[in-house]
Amino acid sequence: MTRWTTEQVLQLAPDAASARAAKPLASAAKWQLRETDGNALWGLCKGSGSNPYQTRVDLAEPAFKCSCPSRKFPCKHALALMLLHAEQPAGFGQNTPLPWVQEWLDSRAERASRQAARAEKTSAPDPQAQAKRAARRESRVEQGVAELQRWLGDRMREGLAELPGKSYDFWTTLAARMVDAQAPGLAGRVNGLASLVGRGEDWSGRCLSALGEMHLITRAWSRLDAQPEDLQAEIRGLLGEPRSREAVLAGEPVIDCWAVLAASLTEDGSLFTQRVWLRGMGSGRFALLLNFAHQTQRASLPAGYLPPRMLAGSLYFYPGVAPLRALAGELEFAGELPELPGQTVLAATTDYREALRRQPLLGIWPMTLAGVRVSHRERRFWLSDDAHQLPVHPAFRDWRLLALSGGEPVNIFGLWDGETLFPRGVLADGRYMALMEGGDGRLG
Amino acid sequence: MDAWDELLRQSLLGTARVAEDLPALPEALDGLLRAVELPAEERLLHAAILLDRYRRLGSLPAPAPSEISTAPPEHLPATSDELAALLRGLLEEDEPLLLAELLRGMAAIPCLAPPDTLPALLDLITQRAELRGPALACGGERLRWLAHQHREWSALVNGAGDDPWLTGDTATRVALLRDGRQRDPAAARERLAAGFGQEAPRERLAFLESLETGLSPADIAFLESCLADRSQPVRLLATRYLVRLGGNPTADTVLGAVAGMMSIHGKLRRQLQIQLPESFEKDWSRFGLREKPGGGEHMGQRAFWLTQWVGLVGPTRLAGLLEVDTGRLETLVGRSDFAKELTASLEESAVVLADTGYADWRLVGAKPEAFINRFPRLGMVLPPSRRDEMLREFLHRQLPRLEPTALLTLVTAVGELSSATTREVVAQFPALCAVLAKHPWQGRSLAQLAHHLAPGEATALEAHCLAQAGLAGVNEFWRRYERRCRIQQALARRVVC
Repeated sequence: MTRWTTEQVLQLAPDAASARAAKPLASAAKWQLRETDGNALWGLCKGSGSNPYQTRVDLAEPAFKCSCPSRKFPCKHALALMLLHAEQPAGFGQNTPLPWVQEWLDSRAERASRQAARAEKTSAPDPQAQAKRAARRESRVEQGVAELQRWLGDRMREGLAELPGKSYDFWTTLAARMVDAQAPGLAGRVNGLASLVGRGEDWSGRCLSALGEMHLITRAWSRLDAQPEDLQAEIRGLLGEPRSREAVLAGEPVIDCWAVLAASLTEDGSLFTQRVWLRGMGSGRFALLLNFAHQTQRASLPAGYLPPRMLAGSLYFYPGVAPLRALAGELEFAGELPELPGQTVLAATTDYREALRRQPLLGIWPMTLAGVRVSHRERRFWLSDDAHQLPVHPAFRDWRLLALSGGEPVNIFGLWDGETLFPRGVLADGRYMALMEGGDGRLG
Repeated sequence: MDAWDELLRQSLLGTARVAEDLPALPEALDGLLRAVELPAEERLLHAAILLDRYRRLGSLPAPAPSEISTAPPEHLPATSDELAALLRGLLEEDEPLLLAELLRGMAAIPCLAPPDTLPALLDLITQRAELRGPALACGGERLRWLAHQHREWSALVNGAGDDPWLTGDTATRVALLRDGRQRDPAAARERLAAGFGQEAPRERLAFLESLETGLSPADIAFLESCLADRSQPVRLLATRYLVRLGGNPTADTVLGAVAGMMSIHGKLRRQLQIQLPESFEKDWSRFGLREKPGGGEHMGQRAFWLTQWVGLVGPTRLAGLLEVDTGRLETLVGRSDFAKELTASLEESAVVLADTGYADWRLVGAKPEAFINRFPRLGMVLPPSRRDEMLREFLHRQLPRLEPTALLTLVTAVGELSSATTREVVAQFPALCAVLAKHPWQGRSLAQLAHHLAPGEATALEAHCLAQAGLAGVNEFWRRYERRCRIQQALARRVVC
């Protein structure tokens, strides 16, 4: 049976108000019925009406259903039932699901099999139509790349000093044209560049590096066929070419026990993006799961990726030179992280340089450092082992890192951008704690 | 200027303005650059990305520093997982009263807050100075070490060797003084006396107020010296303490002066004879008396002088001077020409002079409205157990007629109610809810009440709250009370461990 802790349940809450509202309901007196069959929970909660609310929770995903009128998902009743189960599991009767629970579980199973059947049906596309679409796409991308190359040339002719004076439309128009050219990856870089200009002391240096990268991408695209296959896949990924889930899932799975080291949820306009960083405890491989949902479909994002859970099963990596992005296969809860193996500062940065050598457009690089000591000086944090030190990203402001370490050696998971590390989790006193979100805004 | 700086300079100016050769790059890169034919602007970008990657590939991490600060070892034991979870939860929510209760409980054990909560604790005490003491106690050595590394937090804690009496804020110093007066009144007084004259007037008054803890004849010499203080409120308070202690020249002078102004005449119908002072003597200001009444004091000047003298003596001593009991004094004052002024002065002085006899007499048998008005002030003069008992008796008779806000005012004067008084409130909770139903905007007062009831009545209260769940404030009341019970249980379990 999947066991959820109180902290993990509270992280499922759609907002702070829901978490607050759930706590007073997590009391035995509020529930006329509390039962479980090991995989699901169900209960009857007294509400303001005459009939109690019927609440069901499928612990595996998890999934929720409640008869209350709340539009929040999960509602406070579902959260409260899970909280009560986390704190007082003995208070739940062991039973087979009641009819109104079984009906819901059956409908979920039926929906899942319908979706699988639909996926099978749609996975046999018309090859001719596919080829036509691919050719049209290639043509659009080529035009977009050519337009970007001209734009880059114009910037270098004009000079970077002119950039701070450019209007908001200057950037959004180009980004929109890249989206129209079916190169959303380039649009993202244009937006990223806009946010750099004029900000901070070395904005021009960072700007020049960013422009150089865009130049490299456009040149690599122009000579795509001359690149090795794995690098071709990376370059297509950098442009934002959608890659077929089915093709990825048809690849070779990597089976391991995956530790969830960090998870974040960001909202950009109408889109939620969930980023989950995993590390294979056997293979030592890192993986990044990316899930997206429209703002009205937030509840559709998987809810089980909570540090420091371990998930046993398979991941399917996207093709590339040093692939990080993966899709989840079958994953099962396998306890909590017992330890966090790591490297010295030199070894970790050497691995980064090796990956950069093979893929010059590498973005964020995950690493775990062992036995590093945290210090704070010159208005930022630093991580040092016996021989070397790394600067922490200036945007990192989570003082829990220093509080937890106390200046003693600890193991840390973080995201390296080539110059600074953004710590995302620390193992101290035998306990792994996730730290503030950040550092993964720009991905290779 | 190195190659990158030169590339940057050319990029900033633009190739349209600057038609210069690219700077010399490392040999390996030069070869790569010469291998491609590109327009000037593209060559510039090409050189930039090549150099950027070359530097990244070639750069090694900086050497580690020779010294890194580590937190000193702790002397206190860690807290329990249960308390740690409660603390984390309360730090995330905005629950200052519950947090205060938990931190004070943990400081009393004492045990350490888990390290991940320390930054939140430090942020908390920058906003809530009253939690500084318990938070510092629970934070241990690591909290101080952490604070010293953060610009805003470092002002909150004292470095090793710093004396909080010298560097702390007023609230901290008053708390230190009260604490010192409980343990060693003479030493605390000596410490205060050492720098008393250099303190600001407001601080001098606050420190003098804390001398009430452990007030004894040994303080007379210091109090006499305060009669020369530049601040009138300080001189006034010192005089009152001297009169309270008795057996000193100041007390004798004051009592003698009042005895000259008031006497009792008549046999059958006794009356208070008042001789108003004719003029304001210069040396009266030594006792903190003022010549002119303030803006809000609407009375004649001579009556003002009289009420000030009476205020120095207090009701019980005045009754003693006149050789009557408190009840008779009240009657005589009530029949006098200055009834209102004298009554107010006597009541005010009873609080300052801790006249428990008068306070008790004035409250017992008072009409309900009068009790509600008087208890928050006069009740503070009574010993805690008597205060609680008096309130319990009042609630037994009057609770069904009390609005929640009035009840909260009374209960706040006591602080945490005893188990017996809590049971009284719990027993009449349905009646309280019936009143709340007529005044639903007072739901917040009901919720605040949860912080004053003794834990241990959860079972009975839960049933009442469930029955009244629809009323405003009841759910919040229950939520807070239940959390308090959990906090107290977790603290008790931690103590046992």
